[in-house]
Amino acid sequence: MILAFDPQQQLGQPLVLGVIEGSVYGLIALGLVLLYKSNRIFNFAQAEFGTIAALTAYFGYNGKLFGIPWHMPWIVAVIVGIFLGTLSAVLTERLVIRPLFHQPKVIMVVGTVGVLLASIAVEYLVFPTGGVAALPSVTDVGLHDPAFRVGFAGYNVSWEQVLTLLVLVAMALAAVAFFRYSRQGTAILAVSQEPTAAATVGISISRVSLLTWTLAGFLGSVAGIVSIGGAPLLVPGIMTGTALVGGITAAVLGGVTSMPGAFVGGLLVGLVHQYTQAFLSFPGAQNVAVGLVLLLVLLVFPRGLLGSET
Amino acid sequence: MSLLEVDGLRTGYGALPVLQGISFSVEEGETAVLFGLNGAGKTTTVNAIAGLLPAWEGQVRLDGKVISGLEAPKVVAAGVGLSPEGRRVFPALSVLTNLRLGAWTRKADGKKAVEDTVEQVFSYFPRLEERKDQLAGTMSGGEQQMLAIGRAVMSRPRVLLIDEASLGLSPKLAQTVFQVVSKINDDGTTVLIVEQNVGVLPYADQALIMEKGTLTYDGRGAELEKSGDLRKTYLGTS
Repeated sequence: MILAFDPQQQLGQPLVLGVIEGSVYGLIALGLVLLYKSNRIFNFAQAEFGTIAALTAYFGYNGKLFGIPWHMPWIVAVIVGIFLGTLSAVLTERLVIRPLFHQPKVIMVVGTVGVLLASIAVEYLVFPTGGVAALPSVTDVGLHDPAFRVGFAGYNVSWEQVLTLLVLVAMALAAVAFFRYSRQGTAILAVSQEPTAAATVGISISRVSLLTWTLAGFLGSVAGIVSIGGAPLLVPGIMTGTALVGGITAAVLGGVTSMPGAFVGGLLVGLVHQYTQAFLSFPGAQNVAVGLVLLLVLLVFPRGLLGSET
Repeated sequence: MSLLEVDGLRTGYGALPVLQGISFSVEEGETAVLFGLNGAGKTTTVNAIAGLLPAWEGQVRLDGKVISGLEAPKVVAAGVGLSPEGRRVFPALSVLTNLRLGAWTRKADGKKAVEDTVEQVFSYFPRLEERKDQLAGTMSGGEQQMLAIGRAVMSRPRVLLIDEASLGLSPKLAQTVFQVVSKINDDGTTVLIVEQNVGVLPYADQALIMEKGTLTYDGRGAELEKSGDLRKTYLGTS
């Protein structure tokens, strides 16, 4: 059903919410693209690194992490969360990906599905309460004035939303700069294009693999913290349930191998989601719209919006 | 003592043996050419020397130090450069970036030393300087071959391995590549070339012939070139 037109509800608000939601998809997609470039696989556990980070931060802040009364300050809990989320990616590389290095890629992909399922199981074991209220937002813990608002296109943008956007854009720019200007970034590109030749010039494939998984884990963890902060519910597997499909769609829209493309793809998915929700009220309309956009983009640009290689 | 020594080398892919225990050595400052038909084990030999394949038995030594058992990056750091079969340039990176990546193990030398080697490679292959900002994947096969050799030279190897230097090149371009390889050798780099093109023989100090994973000839290049019988028997030409 088509909803009645309201400029604030249907133009300004979806733009702000779409960019923020899309930035989270973009961040998940950045991690996916990074791992695709180095290992040529899709990592189905990518979003779950974010759940691990968010759950750890929540329980660290609330003094219940591993049953020990931590009572960490909010910022410390977030850093510990990002650290553990990243560590889970490092362990995935060491324990699952590295032993499967010389197996067919499909085996490695199945390995990441195994990591996803095992992660959710471990989350339920470590955090047996299942669903909890929420990870407190920046405003909830008094790091900023809750009354802060910026007017944009008739919609009031909150501090959390501004902060989320700034963090996500900074991460995307840092990722692009890393690949364009750093020695390690160039090494990842070399390994992704010609692993044998990379080895013959002296680049350690195993070190590059560890580096890319570390970076991907960090990106996934940050995505988890920024998207779960202030959200109404936090449960094991939540990031996979809410952001993995959007992240994969964003990566494919962007061209699978393009870092800027991943972020652009994420923004597109977020905006399509929010504008569809603003104009159409029937269930599932958002996902149908994203699917149609994906189909259209791939028909016109078979390599994605910014993809330069298949 | 020879610079490169291959001693009883056995290796293969998976459980399939390819090299049956070959032994040869290459003297410092010389150019050796490894001939053989497809499937003879030439590429397997250079890949094993370069650390891309593990030695099942036997040893590879560089200047007396055992390098078999080392991973490829450490073999490069030890002084062995490989221009691999099929060129394998980094297609979505520029020619200049490809070359600079070739100096990956020379971080301690500093940027100036690396840029000096880039200039040296450009002096060998002026075409690469003309195309230095071009993506490697958009260049012709001959230019990619030049880049692959130039990239291997960037590590300043003591031994340069070149797998199929002339494959897919016109006879004229192949001769150009052989002449440049000869110049690289004159500048002090020991060279081992895998080839099927007998046009490389005038540049070979040493000639090796492989057949079914074994070495069937190891002698001076001039002798092989003069001996019509050898050419006919092993190379199918007269």
